[in-house]
Amino acid sequence: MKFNKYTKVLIGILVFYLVLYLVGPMVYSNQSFFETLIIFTILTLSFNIVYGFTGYLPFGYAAFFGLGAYGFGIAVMRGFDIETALAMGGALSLLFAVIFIPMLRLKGAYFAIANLAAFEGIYYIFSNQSLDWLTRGPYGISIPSVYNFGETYVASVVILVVITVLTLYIKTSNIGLAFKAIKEDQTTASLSGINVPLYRAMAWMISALFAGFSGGLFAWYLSFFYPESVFSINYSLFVIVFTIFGGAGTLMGPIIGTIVLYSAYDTIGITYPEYFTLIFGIAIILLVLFLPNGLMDLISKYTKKEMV
Amino acid sequence: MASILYYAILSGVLIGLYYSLMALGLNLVFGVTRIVNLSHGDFIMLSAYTSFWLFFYFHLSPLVGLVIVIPLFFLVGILTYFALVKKLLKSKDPEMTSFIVFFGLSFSIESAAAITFGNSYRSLPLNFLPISHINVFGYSMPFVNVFVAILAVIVILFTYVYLNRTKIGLKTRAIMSNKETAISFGINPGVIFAVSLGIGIAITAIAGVFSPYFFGAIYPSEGGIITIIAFSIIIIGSLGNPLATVIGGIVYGLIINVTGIYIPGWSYAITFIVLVTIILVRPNGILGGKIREV
Repeated sequence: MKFNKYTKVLIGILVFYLVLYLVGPMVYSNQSFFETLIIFTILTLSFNIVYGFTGYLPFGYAAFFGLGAYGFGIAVMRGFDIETALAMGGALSLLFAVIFIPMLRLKGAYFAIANLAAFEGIYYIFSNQSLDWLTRGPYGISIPSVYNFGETYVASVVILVVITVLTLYIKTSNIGLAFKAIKEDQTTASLSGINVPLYRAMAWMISALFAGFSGGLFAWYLSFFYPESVFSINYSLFVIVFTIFGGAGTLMGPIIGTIVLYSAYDTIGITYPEYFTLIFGIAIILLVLFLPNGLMDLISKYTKKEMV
Repeated sequence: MASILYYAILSGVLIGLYYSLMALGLNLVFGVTRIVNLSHGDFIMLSAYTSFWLFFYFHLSPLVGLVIVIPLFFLVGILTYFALVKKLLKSKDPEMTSFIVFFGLSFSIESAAAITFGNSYRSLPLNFLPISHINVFGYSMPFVNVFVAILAVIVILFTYVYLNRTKIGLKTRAIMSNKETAISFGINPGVIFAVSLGIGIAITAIAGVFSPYFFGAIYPSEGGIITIIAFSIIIIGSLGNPLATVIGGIVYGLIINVTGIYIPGWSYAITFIVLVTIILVRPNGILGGKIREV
């Protein structure tokens, strides 16, 4: 049997996942590290679909993560089962993505600011005292009855595999080509017959859906959280640094970026979070100025091979 | 009770003038350099801390503090140009690069401030003014609002005179309307960029000194939300047109004040929803031209 380059990459990544996420927890006993690592890999890969493929940079991306967590939490509190609750997490995030589709008509600074303002608006809605009956307002969501680490872990791995395969599929299909054309030049893309509004909305919605799933998984794993612990702009910083460090628009870049930088964060950062946002902040400046295409680009220049 | 509405409108306009001052420097920087300074709010925070420490250690009133803060932040602006902006203007897509660079800078400044100053809330005393409150339509209004509104008008007029009545202002406007042509007429863009960043950040620092009276307190992470408010204001006015900032500031002041009086719990949520809607419907601002594409 002969495999093409992409199948080989996919098999490689899946074997890597198998080793890291099956053998890893047996060797290194800090299991919650692996769980959060999977959640952030899903979030970074979702972010990569919109930023890496189409070039839109949503600074308020953390909103989709928070919406996913709230969709999940609210559904559980209303007595839905876990599968439905996870779907609701994705759906709530998707719903807001659909509402904000018109934002994609904006460019540059306008898109960035509209996105940040939307993030703040959503946060103030979900943390609002008068929505106590639905969201528990500023008091946070508590769903300890559904806590089940094993199930969360399995569900997380499944969703990680799905987004990995999906990313590779998009990258190698005509859809990916259309996304790339949009990233380069929207006017030229539409002149060559690409339905620009349709494709960019598609990337936006897929991205939001999976960010919602990762938020839902995070809520399930935490089983207790405050609005500011899921609607935190720090998650936007995380995904942007992880993606740019690895290499935006590739499949392996965001995966490696997340593993390297999130491991560093998890080892030192949780005890000294301020030092870590300081380091990530400086890292992002240096990366953009000196290594704008990330690690994958560096490797492909060195090995003279195009990285996936 | 109509008088509470009158009070809300008058006080909204006055606060709006402060917000114009707060966003003016940002718009000047964007208009001239096309750099999207996402750490704008952090400069406000830093200048508020400077003013706080000057008061804390040397008992200098915020008004005296201004004499130190203005030249200091002018230098910070020049330094920002040489340390970051000069390099990023040479990159492939300067606008996009500037987002990411200043997004990173914002986190760096906030974390460094949290490490150095701690996370406790600080505030400045009000006794630098002779009167504390005045009576307007039967309601008591902090006199600092009136004072800062007057100061804002003075700074806005200064900016107008600077841009329209001085030689360097003329060169600045030439760069703003067409960079390439201006360069071909012998204008050195580096000097204009550096001075504009200096002035823009010095104006921002003036707003920063008085920020505790409008945002309640000084704390390291306040910058993020201030940046969003400032950007929304200049988009409502018109991005790249410094003097149109006044319109955006007053619109914002009115929304936040009127909703704050009638539906206090929802004031912020509604303000941000209105801001997003305005950006979506009229991204060119109330005074601007057409910019939406595809």
